[in-house]
Amino acid sequence: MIMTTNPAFLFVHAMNSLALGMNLFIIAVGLTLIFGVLRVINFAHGAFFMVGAYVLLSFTRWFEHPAIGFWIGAVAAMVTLGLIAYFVERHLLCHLYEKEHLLQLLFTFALVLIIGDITKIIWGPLQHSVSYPPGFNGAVNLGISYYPAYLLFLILLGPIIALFLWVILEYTRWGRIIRAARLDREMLLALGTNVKAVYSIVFVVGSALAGLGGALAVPRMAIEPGMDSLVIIDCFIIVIIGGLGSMWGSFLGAIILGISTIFGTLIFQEWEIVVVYMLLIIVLLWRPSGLLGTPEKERH
Amino acid sequence: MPFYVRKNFWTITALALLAILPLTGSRYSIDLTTQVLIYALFALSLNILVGYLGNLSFGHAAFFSIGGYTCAILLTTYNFPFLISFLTALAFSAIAAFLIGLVCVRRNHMYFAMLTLAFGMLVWAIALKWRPVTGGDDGFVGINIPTILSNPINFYYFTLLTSIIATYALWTICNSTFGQAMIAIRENQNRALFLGIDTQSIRLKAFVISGIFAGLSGILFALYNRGMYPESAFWTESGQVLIMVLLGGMHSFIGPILGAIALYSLEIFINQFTEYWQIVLGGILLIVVLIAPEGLAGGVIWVEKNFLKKS
Amino acid sequence: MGREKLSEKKLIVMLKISNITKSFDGFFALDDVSLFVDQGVIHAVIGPNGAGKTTFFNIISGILAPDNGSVYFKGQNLAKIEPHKIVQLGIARSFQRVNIFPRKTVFENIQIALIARDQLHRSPFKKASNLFSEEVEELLKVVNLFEQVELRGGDLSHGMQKQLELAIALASQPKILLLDEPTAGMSLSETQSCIKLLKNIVQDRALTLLFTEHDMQVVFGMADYISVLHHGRLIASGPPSKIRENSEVKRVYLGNKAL
Repeated sequence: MIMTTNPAFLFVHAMNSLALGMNLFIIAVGLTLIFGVLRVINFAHGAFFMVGAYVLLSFTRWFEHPAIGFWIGAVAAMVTLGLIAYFVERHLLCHLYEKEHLLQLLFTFALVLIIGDITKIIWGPLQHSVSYPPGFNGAVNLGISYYPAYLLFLILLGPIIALFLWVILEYTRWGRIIRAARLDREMLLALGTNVKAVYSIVFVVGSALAGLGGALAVPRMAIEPGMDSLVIIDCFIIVIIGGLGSMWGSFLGAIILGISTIFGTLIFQEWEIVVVYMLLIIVLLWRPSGLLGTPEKERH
Repeated sequence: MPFYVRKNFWTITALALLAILPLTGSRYSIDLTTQVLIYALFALSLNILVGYLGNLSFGHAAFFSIGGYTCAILLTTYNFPFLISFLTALAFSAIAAFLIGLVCVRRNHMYFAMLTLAFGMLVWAIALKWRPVTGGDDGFVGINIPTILSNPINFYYFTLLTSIIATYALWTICNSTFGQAMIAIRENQNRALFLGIDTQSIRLKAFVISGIFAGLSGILFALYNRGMYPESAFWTESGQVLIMVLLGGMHSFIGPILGAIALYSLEIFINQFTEYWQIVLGGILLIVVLIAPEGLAGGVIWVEKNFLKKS
Repeated sequence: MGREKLSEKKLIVMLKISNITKSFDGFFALDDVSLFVDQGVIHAVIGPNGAGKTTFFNIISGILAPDNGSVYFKGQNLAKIEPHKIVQLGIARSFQRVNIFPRKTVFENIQIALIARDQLHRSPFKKASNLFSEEVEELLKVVNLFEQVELRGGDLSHGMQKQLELAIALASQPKILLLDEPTAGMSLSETQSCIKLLKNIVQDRALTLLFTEHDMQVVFGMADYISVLHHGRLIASGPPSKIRENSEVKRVYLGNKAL
């Protein structure tokens, strides 16, 4: 066990935990929003994340100017995923809402397989990487220690997105409808809202967040086929720990996962991954509905 | 016993063909059939949960791997006799299924699926990281198998016999009063509870049964490949078996067997033309989910109803 | 609240509900409700929507735990007894929304109830196929579903599904039957025959019947005894003639209309 009380060392690791956590939050919050309203666990959310990463990769290759390529690429990733999600929801998934949840899950699993091969066909099987965007490639002096500007940007962006979503959910008409949908689907119909539109919008927004999360993760990690299969598990862990459907739950879950990954590696080295799964199981035994989740309402 | 023969015509024909298969002398078809048998058993075990109990498990590969790794480690690292390794591996799968089941059956629907997924990944992580015992990401290779099983034909018969016994046991369980209770829970858990059925303990029992047979198929897999690898516990592997179940038809007993045969043959066939097998698999799954949720077995029943019963 | 005897004959108490209180987020679904259900009696619990009828049933059958008070079945306190054990004691129930096994055949729907009654559902090696076939037939004849024995439960008409559910409940040979809105969604003629059927069953099997109902004709056509819930409180309890005349019932529940 290598532990040190050097404050700068601990500080950097704490910041790394947050950077990882906030990046994952951006992805996972989309998953939790979609589950909250559509009651569908989207296995393809990880694949959407991966497509987001590849779209950004293409834009950084197309544009001479790296900053333009990066930021336009991030927006393009969101738009691309929004379009894909719109097609998927409107033309395929919508046929399954009345069916068993089992078919819905397998449907999203089919998307994982298909999207996985399509990205391989388009972008090839090789590994790629993209460096930090200009302006964010330096380090910032935070007093205790220097810290990479890009990761600091991620740490700040997470809460901004969380607050933005919170304001929308709490204070707008759409937010009210979405909250109502989370509690009681039948109530939505009774309110005379356009349920179809609500489902589409939530699926599109949630998936676009996966795309954004994928794009922004690119400077942190290698882009390669199969990069989705572990990210989706991380997202699942976050939303289960936080409570399925809870926005702040996924925020909390992401921070917890970030901390346990970074500090878990520090303390337990390669056993970190086991620690994360154990943590998940402990949380579920202690609070079956997750930290901020509402207990599962039995039907009938 | 003409009546008995008539009633079980297809079963007897299939068994007869399987029994004489090695006479063809084709090593390729023996290997292929052995693999299909192993996966068919794996899919059958999963169908206890998915088809009969209506609980979607996304971590079934965990028990497959626990069975395989335990048998491999006992045989090779500890030089245990074959029978003891075999039975201990089954017992380990059962114990693991019991402990994991205790947690999982407390929840329904999505939560059950995600919990099984989490436990499956825990097993994967352990297989990957416990390098001194499992061999880590290189896998556990060079399993000591008894000399008599090292001959492919002998191993084929061993697998065939094991599969037949296991399938018969599963068939009995599925058609028992316990099987009816599982279906009742699938159809309406709440109503089953108000018939006086302790649904949680039935679900736990089914989970353990399912885990034992998955473990059995994992043991056969390890012996056949003379090795066990962490990928066998990864969640996509669990997904693959789920596809077999769904493709074959989850609401029939033999569905998963048909699914395993179809998927395995298809994979080998498609791989001759393209490396993009997954996209084909995904496409098939999409079609089944959207258009034919009863799978191949549903198709067989449909054909029987509409064309064959006319006479 | 005074308890009115139906006759001079000494009655045995099947179900004793004492001082049940249940609130959800500060809203009192049931507020200090006490009542007795006597053996062999057809007892109706009525009240406007939201009066607490379903909560009442859910507490008796063990789905919900009361905040206060207890339920006694033949003198045994049901607190802390799991729902499936309560069924085994002899309390069967049906639900407001049809609650059957839709993809099991009518035969299998009843068979599983019999399997559960005899606690055979734990045996993985006991062959199910023709088990209990005679008893199933008998029950199907009682509820007039014999012709439909091979159909799937979900393919029956709504009225038939209700009858099937009744047969499922009867299969457990209950001592007391809790029916939540037994005629909900039925046509007029279906309702009529259902009432007749229920009356016969109660008589033939010496059952006690506790039911909720919104259709006043059904209630007054069937019940020997009526309890009225309003905003979670028991406001009246007595034979139909007394309830008809009870001024509070008229005021809060019937809007002063004559019954």
